[in-house]
Amino acid sequence: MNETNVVMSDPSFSLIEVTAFTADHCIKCNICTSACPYAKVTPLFPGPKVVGPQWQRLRDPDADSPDHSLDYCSGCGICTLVCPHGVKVMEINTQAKAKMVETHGLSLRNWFLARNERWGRWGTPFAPLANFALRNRLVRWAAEKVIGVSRRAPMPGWAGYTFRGWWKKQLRNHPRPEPVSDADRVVYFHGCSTNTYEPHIGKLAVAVLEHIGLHVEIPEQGCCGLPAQSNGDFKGARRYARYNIEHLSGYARRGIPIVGTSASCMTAIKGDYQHVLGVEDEDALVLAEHTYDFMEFLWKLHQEGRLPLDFRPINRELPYHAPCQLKAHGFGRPAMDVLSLIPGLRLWEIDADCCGIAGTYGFKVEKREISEAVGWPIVQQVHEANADLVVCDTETCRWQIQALTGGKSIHPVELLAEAYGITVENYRPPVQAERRAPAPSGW
Amino acid sequence: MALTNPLSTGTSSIAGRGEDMDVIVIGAGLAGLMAAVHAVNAGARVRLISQGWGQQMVTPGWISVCDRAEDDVIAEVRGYAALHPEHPYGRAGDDAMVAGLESFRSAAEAVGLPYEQRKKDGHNMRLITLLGAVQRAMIAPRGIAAGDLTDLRGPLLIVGFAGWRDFYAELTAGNLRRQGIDARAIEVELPDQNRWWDYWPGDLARLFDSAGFRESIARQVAPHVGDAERVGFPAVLGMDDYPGSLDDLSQKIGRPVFEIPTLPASTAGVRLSERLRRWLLRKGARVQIGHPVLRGVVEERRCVGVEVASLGHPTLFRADRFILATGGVYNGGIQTDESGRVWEPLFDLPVVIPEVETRADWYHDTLLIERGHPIHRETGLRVNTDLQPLDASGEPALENVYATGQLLAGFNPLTDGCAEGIALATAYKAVHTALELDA
Repeated sequence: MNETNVVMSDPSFSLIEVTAFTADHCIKCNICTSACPYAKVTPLFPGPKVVGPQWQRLRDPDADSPDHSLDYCSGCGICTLVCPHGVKVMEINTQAKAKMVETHGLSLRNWFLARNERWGRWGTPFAPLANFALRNRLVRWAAEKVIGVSRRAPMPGWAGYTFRGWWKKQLRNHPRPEPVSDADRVVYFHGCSTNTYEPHIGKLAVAVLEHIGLHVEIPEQGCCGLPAQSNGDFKGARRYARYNIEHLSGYARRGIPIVGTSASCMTAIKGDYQHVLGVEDEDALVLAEHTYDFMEFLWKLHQEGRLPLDFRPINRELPYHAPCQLKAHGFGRPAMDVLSLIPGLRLWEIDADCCGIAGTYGFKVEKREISEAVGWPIVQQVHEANADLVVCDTETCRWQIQALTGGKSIHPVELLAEAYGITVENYRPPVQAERRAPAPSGW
Repeated sequence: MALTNPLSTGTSSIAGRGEDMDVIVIGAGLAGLMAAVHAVNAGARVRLISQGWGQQMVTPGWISVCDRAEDDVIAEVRGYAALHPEHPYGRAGDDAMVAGLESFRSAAEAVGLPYEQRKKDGHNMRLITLLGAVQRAMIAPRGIAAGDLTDLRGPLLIVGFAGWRDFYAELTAGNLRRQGIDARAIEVELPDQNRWWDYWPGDLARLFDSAGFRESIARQVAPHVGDAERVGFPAVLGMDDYPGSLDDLSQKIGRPVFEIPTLPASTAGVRLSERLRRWLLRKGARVQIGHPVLRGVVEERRCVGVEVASLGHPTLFRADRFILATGGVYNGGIQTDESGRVWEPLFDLPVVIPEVETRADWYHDTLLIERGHPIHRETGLRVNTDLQPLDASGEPALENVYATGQLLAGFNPLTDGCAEGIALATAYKAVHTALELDA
């Protein structure tokens, strides 16, 4: 057995140590370079093979990377997916990026983007003012000049209240009976965006889960850590990871699933905590095992015969974008599988590896043009199909798609809720189901 | 037995449509991609799952059907298949081979990638490699086929790019001259030299998508054309704009241009894979390139699903039929270890292995040997004429699993000059038997 195989099959080596050794499986075939959506559009990034497995062998594991072009890697992970040899290209690059930050520190701008969770909470009481500022050209111009956040980057607006606050009020006004067994419990992980920018996603998710007959719990939780991780701030990301593990792993140990509507947050909890951040104690592994993306969870329920099929028809053909971080789950396209159960609804997947936003990448002024070029295939295909609505599981991708296409983008739960006839306050569905009653089963 | 052409049948009568997929194809090489195309064309719901892209990404891009054939390739294969029923061509049948090749060309044409063959005599083409060697192949992408030496009357001009380390025009031209082919080399400048790392072939191919870039190259080449009959370039003449970029460059230079395969990744393979993926997605298929299949889940000699190594917990994907296009010893479809164990990792299907004493005998002492090494020549799955893998007693090991391409025993994909032909023939045959499409 060669050295790499010894390391990879030895349980005393951690996943994060194994990652570096996968570089030895690289045969320099350039398949990753050919697939990288970023190297395709900019000469500033030499591509995943070069900055990954090729330069990995020149790097001192304890020192800064001698080359800094890997800052132009977005971390979308397409390279890891297309590699037929199992090289963890993106993971190698992300670790090297973290080493860079360790040596040179985090820029003010990147620190700001890595702490999105705080701005979400702190901006909430001042929503009207904050939203005015975000839409104000002068403010955006100043933000670009002073801290380097692109004025063209798509920004969400503060809802003015938090999802958690709404939920507390819900429980006070409509207390839910305790379920008989843990088999009927589910934990909802809302993520920062749902909490402060798009609470309607959380309200719909909770309503759908309750429609299915599950008892929803929303325990204390933090940012998933992905924004910090992708800016190379591993210290910050690990803090978030440990916070979530501490508050959620107890549920996982009882076999209660943890379900989230942001596919990228769920990638962090299921995979990045171990593969990228190296947090792999037993609690982290149990949590990963019991964590599900929302649509993945619903498809699992359907396979177990537990998903109600009382859907009203939605007669539409809609494009679907699978975010890069959703592809990283490796669970296929559960949103398409679940939504195909709705009569009349036809989805087709846009051929695009990444929308270009890649978490916080597309917000950075020096990368905005690259980000828009990466998203261009989406624009082309959506416009060719004359579509004005794109279905997508991750919030930053939806904002990017809306900014680039000029149309709307919705989470799959919005279609699902509409087909179930579920309505929540302050939310108008962009697609209407037929008002006729669902067909009786067996029809 | 007449086989229907899936590209003309439209929706067929597929029994037992549940909510799961009709077909899961495992592998994204030529066999896997075409199996998915055939199944979609037959009206099936298809999920393609693969650990990374397949071998077409690193091969020259032409379709070897029977490289050693001196005259009519199809006639040669028909004769060979009749005499060798155990060979994959014999297993698939020569009708499936012909239909597989034709439907591949139609599918490629449908995504805007014309593949050519010698219509007037059905012979192999004589195509130029990066080193200036001459290889035979029956079918090739239009740009590469334009270099077919069979009907060459005048000299060749080979064009390289100054400073590009993937292609040396003089190396190619010099070796051609040594074989009596009149060839000259020139180097032209790439307009943008402001980068400090190498171009990979795809970078240049995307530059050739731009008419302005083509103009700047043509302007440098035109003065050197002289009496050259054709002008050869490394195979980077366009990505998204291909093959329009080819015609435009020919017109600008005033001579037909052709392509010579370069180092990986193969632009021909990238074009084909990306465009077939888009076509499959638009037809509603799932294309999951990334996490590998860990194992098949079998109940009473039927595969009910495959488990994928997804994050956190494995995911089970169900279907009625399964096409294995996982490749051979070099592709992960068959695994080996240092103890000499050889196994098929998904279903633990019985594998034919070389009849030798020790693992050392898997290989000859010489690396480049005409018929190849025993481990490549003699390893693979034994199948029946429906392409179902067989168990030790010669019965189908599983009712609804079919094997294609380099996974099959009976040929050496590295040296026999027929790997792509077998991929296309068996992909066609497997889908047709799996979906019971025989007329």
